[in-house]
Amino acid sequence: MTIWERSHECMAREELEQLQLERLQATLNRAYRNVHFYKKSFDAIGFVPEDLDDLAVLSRLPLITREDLSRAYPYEMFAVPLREVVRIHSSSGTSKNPSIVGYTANDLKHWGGLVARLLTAAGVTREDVVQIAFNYGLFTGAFGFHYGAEQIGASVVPTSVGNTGRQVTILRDFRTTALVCTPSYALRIARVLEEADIDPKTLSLKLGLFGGECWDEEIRKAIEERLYIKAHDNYGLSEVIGPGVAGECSQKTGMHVSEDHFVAEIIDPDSGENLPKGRSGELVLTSITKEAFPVIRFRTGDVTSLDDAPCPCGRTLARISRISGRCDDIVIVKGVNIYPRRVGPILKAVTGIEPTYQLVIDREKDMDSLGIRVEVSEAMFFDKMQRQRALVDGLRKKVRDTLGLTPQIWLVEAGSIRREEETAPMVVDTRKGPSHR
Amino acid sequence: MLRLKSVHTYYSNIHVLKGISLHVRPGELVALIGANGAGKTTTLRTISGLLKPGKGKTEFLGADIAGLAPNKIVRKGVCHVPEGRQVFAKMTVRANLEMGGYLLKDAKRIKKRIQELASLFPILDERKDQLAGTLSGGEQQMLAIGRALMGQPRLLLLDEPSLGLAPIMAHTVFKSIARLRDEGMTILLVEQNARAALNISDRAYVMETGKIIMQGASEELLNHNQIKRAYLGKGYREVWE
Repeated sequence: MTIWERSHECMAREELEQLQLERLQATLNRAYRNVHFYKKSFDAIGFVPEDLDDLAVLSRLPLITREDLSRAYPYEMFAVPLREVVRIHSSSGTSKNPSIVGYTANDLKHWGGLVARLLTAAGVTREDVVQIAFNYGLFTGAFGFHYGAEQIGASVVPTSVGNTGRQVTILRDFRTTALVCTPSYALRIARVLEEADIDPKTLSLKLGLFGGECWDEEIRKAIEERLYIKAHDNYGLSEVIGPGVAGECSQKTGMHVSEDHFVAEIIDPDSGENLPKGRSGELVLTSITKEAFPVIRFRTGDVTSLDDAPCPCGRTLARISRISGRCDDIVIVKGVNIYPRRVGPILKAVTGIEPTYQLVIDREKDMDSLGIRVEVSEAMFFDKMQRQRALVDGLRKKVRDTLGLTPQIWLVEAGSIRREEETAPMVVDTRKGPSHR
Repeated sequence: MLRLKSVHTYYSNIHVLKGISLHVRPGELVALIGANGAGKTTTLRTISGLLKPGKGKTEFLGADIAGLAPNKIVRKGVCHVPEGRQVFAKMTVRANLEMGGYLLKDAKRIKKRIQELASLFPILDERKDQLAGTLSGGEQQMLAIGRALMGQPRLLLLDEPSLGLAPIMAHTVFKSIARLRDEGMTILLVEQNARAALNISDRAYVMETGKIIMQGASEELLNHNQIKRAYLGKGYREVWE
């Protein structure tokens, strides 16, 4: 298997740590000078960038969360003037304000290179035809893979999402060899192929890179069998850069984190303390090459563990295990992050008072769906069916416009959502697998 | 080959270097650029032992050299060419070169080494019997570099080799530095002429007020808008370009 950037993916650990230290120090110097948020938070603990004389000191710095990024809406956390920013994306987070992330020309170049690494690790070469079925828009997924595949010199087919019938036609006619999408969409494509009675073995498709959702070995097996391909996991998030943070090599024993661009830590999500090597906890990432939007100790909310043992593939970059869950209450449906508690105010905008509600997440025919059960209060009680229908339509539209997902709305009788002792499950997730807690 | 880890250096009470980390790999030409007073020269002086670091690690070929006397550091193979072309003006070019060869301790080897350098700096060969003080600025700079090379260093520290030179002469000096690297010499170059330094180097660090604020491939930095604006002069092109 080839390695995209051997000089950096296979560095001796000691050299890598020197590089990390150099880049981290430069990042802190810039962030402290250019981003008010970091200056304030460092000043608050009496820290100046020159105090960081060792990588281990990083753990003394404050952690930041999606809420911090959201409060910086839109540009407060940019570390360069807007004229240096050549691209703006937005996270899929559904917090009040999404996190807005910027890229300089250099950032975009690095981003493409990082994705090229994981595409190469999965076996993509310039001979491949790469079909990218992620949403091209404010989300980072499609563009990251687009640039990465282009850097490799593969033929990129930017199909974006939706119209699965057409996706399948393109898959067959364009002789796509590598598919990039969410795991659930891969299964959807598999189903459409089955319905159209197309044998996947007759396609040119040989591998796929799937991400944007939590998925497990069982789903991997299903995808590999039903599409007759090798399925690779990769990890990234818009707040940090998008795809390109980590990716699986042919060994499939975890995802190599591009540690020359990101410092990874594992913390106890409750105490915030760093956990000993190998322990499972919340992944915290610090960007050390990003110019426009550096993040310092960003809590990803994702549960994993870190392993820096040498990998037979030759890469020395540490591996994170497959994401085993979320620390906070976020649920991911069709790649969209949903904070269940934030759905209330959205409903309230239509109903006037916040109703009791429950999210029902289901997977039907391999596609995730979001349903919302809303208790009917006296204030909402209508004897006319028509007005009830209007209410349901209003709620559906409001949720769709805010979250970007069309839910099913069920009006239910008052008291019918059983909330056991105040801590009623706000979310009922019937999707199987440990990754959707 | 060379590795600095969070080096702090003080001039009496003034905190000049505030945690500098950098590295140079064998065969690399690495540039250190930045404005006047950013701490570039101090960094070189700290590496060569002329200044003692207050804190931090300086490793050369895996051994800690922080705090060693300058002559010990020279013996390990680090040669520092300070700014200002400090040649012995009243001595001939050949005598200057011979001085540089004191580590070789053998007249034959010194002679051989001078011959080797002739191919790199033909001008020094042509002027070998002239007094160094009669050379032009650029020639003196080449003599200073040539003298440093006499001791067959493993790492060359160059401080502002283009300082005070006419553009055409500076160009010649930069060309010979690039050639030195092509022949396998490892070089850490401090320069105010950021464009020229970035043009010939592999990687670079950008210093500001005693700190490194950026680092990366020279090619990347050369096209970096902020670097362009701060150090290259927007739309400004050097005379020889």
